[in-house]
Amino acid sequence: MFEPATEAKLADHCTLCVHRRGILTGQAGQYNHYVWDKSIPNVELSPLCSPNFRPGPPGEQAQVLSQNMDDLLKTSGCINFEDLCICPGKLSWVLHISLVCLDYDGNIMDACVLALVAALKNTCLPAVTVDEETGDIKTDPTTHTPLSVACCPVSTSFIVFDNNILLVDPTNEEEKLATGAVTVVAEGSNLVSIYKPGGTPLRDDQIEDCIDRALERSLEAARLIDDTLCSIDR
Amino acid sequence: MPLDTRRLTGPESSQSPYNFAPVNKLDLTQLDKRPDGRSIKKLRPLFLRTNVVSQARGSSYIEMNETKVICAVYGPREVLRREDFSLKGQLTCDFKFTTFSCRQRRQYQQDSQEKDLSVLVLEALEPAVCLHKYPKSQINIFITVLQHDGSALSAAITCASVALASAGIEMYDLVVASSAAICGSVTLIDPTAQEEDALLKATVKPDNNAGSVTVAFLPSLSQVSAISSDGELSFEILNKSMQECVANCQKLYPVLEHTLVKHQQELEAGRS
Repeated sequence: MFEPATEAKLADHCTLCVHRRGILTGQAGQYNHYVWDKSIPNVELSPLCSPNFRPGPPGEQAQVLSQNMDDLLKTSGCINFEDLCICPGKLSWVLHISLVCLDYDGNIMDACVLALVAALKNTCLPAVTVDEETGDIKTDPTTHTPLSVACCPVSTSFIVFDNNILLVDPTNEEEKLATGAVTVVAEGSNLVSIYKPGGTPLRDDQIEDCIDRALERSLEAARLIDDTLCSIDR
Repeated sequence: MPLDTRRLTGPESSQSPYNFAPVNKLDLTQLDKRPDGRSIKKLRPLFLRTNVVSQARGSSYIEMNETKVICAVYGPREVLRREDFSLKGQLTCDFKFTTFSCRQRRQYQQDSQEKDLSVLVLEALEPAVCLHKYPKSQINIFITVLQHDGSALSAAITCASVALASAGIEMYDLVVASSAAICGSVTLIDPTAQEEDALLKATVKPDNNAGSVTVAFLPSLSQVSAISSDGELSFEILNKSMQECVANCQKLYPVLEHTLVKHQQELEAGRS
């Protein structure tokens, strides 16, 4: 209805959709300091998207992904959390971020990051004013200000196949056969993080090759996000 | 609210910013002027697509303006627990609103309304599926509402029946559902969320009639598989609006047929 939504669809059918809504908290004081609590990403791998997931609480993979998204938001510096403050010590925006996987065909991490960043860039917050004397909160739904997003981190995943072949953007089937995985998150020409959860050990030059490719892709993906956001009307 | 340790939880006391904005209430005395400009008898345009989830046996997506529902069908798969074993096939249904789908933020856990809707969808579909053809196995239907703007139940039933058909599950007939909201002597076809809410929360009920009705219909057998009505309605009015719903189901049936024919053509094109 009001929340910005994006759907990232990689060539391998991994569709994903992020939505968020800014929500005010009425808590006094404390949220000023706990800036980290102002964005709450949650990844949902529902049984709808793949036969591997069961109904019920999120599994290990979903929990790890949620945590990855949270770390990315906090460390990449793409949102300035102080911008989310409405009235110091009283009111602040909270971004509830839901990442819902609709079709799971591998490389969920890249799709999540792409959708996350695109949705953040598409977020508009309605104008909220607080009456200083009475403390009444008023929202003006007609005026919106876009959320300022400083940078555009892009993740690129590789899998190691047969202990020496590197494959980019793996499908579900390829992921199952993989002997290792690397995820590189890059922002423009800067590196944000590298995540290599065990598996086959890689040589220096292989890692460097991954980083080079990730940097190249991050520019392409950032351009794609900007083009997409220009093409929608608000 | 039990503590959810497997998800990242935010502050408990957060509220939607739109709670502090002026609400434009629906005028119950002037229902013939609907907010979206439709006439009271007009259905919203329907968009249906199959094969949206590559991993599922069958899947479909339905869009009625702002109401968007996706459904996937898995199975027939074996029954995991021995106690659940039966010679007749089993159908299960899991209905979920996404947290962002409604005006008020919903929880991640399935709430009682969602459980209720799961059962309603299941009951509407069961008569149409040839369950005796799938002994010792179960068929799972997963429905997710991506955006809710009224008539989510009827959209879900229609969507699920198309998904079942596209999965190649043997069925007696498709199930088409349609809903109506009733206020006094006025029947609003295919109500939006705003209209549904206004009627259910109405304190002054014109002629003691305010509520909504959803009918699931098997069009080629010409049988009704489920009726669900909420609110206070007199028998004559309920009967009249049910007939209108059935007529609307008949109108929607060609869209479903067309979607499935297209699905079959795509399958054959993919094979050759």
